[in-house]
Amino acid sequence: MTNASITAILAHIANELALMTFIEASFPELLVDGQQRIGGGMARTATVPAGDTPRDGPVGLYANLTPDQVVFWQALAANPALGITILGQRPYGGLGTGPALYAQVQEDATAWALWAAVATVPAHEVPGEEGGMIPVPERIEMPYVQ
Amino acid sequence: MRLITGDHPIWTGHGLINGGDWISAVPEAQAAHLYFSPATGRFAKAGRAVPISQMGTFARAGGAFQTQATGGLLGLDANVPRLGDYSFGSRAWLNEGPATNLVPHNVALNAVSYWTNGAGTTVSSPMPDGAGTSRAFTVSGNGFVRPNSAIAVTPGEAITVTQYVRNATGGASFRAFDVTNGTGISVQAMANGSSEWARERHTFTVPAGCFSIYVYAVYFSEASGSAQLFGLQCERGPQASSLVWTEGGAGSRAPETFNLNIAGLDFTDGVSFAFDLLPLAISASNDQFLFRMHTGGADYCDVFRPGNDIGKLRLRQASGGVTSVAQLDVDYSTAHKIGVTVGLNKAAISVDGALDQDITSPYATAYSAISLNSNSPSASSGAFAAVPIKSLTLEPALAPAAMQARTAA
Repeated sequence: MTNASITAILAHIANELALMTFIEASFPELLVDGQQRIGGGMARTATVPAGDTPRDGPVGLYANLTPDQVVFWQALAANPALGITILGQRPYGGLGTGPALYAQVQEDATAWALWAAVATVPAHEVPGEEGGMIPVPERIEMPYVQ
Repeated sequence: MRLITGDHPIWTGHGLINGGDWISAVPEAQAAHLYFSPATGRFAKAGRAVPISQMGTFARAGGAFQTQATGGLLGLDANVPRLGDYSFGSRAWLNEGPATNLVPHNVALNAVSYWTNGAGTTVSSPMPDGAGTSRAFTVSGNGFVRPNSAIAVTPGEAITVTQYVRNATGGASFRAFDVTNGTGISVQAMANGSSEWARERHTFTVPAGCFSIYVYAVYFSEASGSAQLFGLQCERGPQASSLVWTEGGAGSRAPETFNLNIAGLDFTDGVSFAFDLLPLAISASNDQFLFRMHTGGADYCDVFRPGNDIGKLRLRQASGGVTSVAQLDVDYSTAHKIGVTVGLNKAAISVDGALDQDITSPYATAYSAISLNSNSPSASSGAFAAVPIKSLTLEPALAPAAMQARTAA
């Protein structure tokens, strides 16, 4: 196996809890961490919004996949009932692959809008150490697997 | 940054390191089914020197950094093992589990969207990951610099912050702040005032009633402080793992697994695993996963050192939804030969050839594969400590006859 066999994907999942329920019923061997995360040899995945339990709502997913896992996820995405949209994918090309994939997806306005819908952290204020509140600008979360 | 790719001859087996003559002077390599010596770059299978690529299949679905003898970082591509890592002081094979850096943008402290008081001058002299990048920053006189987003935490959990530091002056410190209750948690002075980079660690426990924290790249206790900083990292748990870059969100490093090539080798009576780990690694607080015997399905037999019980070696088996655990005492200051024999519904473990325990085992299937540092399914967060391996061998079980009788099918 060489690095060329790894593929980085960015996906939108319409309902994480529904997908996990489907996986648990159909492919229980793929679940790890107390049935809370899809494993099965996949690289550690990054989801937004991040949580300790599957979200009953839309999430974004970044994952580095082996060839078998790419086939698996493409098959899942082909089932419209599961609500999976592969927003973008590219061969793993080293430590800069994550930012490069996000740049690629940003070029597709439709795909990026889906990602932004789940990954946008709106402008807000946080408590300051000296009292009062500090403004934090809006940003779009872009987690990735190194 | 130099990058070793999956096509590098060290990994693809296009050539042997040091040739194959060395094996005549290493009896344990001649006798072993599999012999690994990352410290010397020597590997053998069935008494014959081979490149490591013939010893099994390594997988890491992403990149990782290897610490070089100089202290610098070498970026490795996906599926390239870290055979020459010096993170723990001397050369070893570094195997790590998955990890996540919760700092959302550690590549640039001057990205104002991600940092409060984000500022600093990029450092142009050599950085830990080599020349050519400008991700190190000189920060001074700002009071503090920290990510502008808080990190969700659980009271009582340990958090570990690491960062490469040099030229720290004027009370430059690590700091953690309890956002929930508006009070400081911990301050730890940065120790490295020299001009050489050093990775420093700050581990603290989240106090009761705290569910959100800030961690800092730097906090100055004096007005005239200054420090050069690189690669802030924040991980759950008491253990620091190797650097993970982040750029716009939390970043993860994929787990590392080496599936041994045991085809044609006779492990009918079990396996003896002779290991020599770096002593520094033994102070790890998380579980250290040594190896797993399995069939590729849900059943497994794990051997690991439990982080919450230093001085133990634990055997955990699972089959058909039933789990059993046994453990024995081990002095980790020296190398040992651990024998693990698994028969149908029976198992035994020994140290240096002496039977220590025999166990009623739920494992009812003959294992067919052995993985080093595979994912541990019991770790809720997936976090377990690095296993820096100086050398290891796998041999037919050295189990005494009594053990073999007990574990016979």
